Amino acid sequence: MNQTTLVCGLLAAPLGMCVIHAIVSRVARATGYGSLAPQVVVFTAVMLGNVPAVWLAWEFARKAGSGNAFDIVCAIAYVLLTYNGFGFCYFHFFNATETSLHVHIMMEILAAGSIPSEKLTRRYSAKEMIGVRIERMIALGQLQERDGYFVLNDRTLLLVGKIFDAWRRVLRMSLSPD
Amino acid sequence: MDIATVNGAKDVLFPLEYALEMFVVCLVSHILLWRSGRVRNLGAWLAPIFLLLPVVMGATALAGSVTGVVPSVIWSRWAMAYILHLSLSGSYILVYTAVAGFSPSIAILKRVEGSMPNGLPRDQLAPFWFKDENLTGARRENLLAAGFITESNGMLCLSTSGVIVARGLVVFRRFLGLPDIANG
Repeated sequence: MNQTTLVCGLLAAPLGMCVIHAIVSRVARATGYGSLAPQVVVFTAVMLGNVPAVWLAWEFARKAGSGNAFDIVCAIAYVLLTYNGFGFCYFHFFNATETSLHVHIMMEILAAGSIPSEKLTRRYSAKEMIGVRIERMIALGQLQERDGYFVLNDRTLLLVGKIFDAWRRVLRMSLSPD
Repeated sequence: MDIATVNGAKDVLFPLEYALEMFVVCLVSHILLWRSGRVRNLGAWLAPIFLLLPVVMGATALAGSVTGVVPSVIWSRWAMAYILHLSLSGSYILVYTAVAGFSPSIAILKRVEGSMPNGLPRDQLAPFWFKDENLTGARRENLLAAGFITESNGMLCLSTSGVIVARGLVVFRRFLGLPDIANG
């Protein structure tokens, strides 16, 4: 394997992720896992892509460098960092088609040809959006409903929110939209 | 040319080292610019910082190698370094979009956290800024400003670029075997 092959392989990684994602998505539905959150499916697909990425990293490490352990670790780190960076981008691109209001509005208009501005406001009212988000967070295991009250079930997304707030402070950005 | 025949360890180490250096330089530039408070429309500066600054760094290195100040540039190593930088920068730009955008889901979770261990009933989950003008209204204005939609007599239509983007997303979702419009 030469550097050109490696570069081409890494540049083609998002396409490969898309193909694996399409396969995993169909297999999940065919085997009765169709109710899995789409985010879980895409995460699984991206993680599965690490298998060929590790093989690529190993081939690269074997042929490149002086053969010492440090070079091998660097080569593997290079390939895995690059692949998973693209994987992160792919995950968010897909997630935008699932959750982004911008995308939803465009898709609604594409399907209908044109829509009244007022209908859009009603369709995506704050109440409507809370309902959709609650269902999604329950499906992802973040929230749980107990006797009509919603409680935290998993703090992962909350932790992400706290990291975002810390980063907003670093960038001197507002901590609230108002 | 096979990697092993070029220059062993440097072929492995250079892309990793240089990509991380490029990323750190871009990140520090981004932080300093944001903290300076002197720039409006900050989001528009992300792509120039993370995508063009490394090109300037590469051009500087090329100029340096021509004049003999630094060793000659090996393009395959630079390509590898730039790809890693691209993947890290793409990831960071997406994270930044989420940081700057205020996620309604995270806002709901923060409210629930504040009420633990009892939790909150559904009608109290919405944060104070959960208003139509901050949600749909802001998105509609963004799409109008970006030129993806147009408004005429209260009706919203997709522009040509909007149709291209939306159809592209439909093709992508159909390839994945998913409905055109997601539920979320």
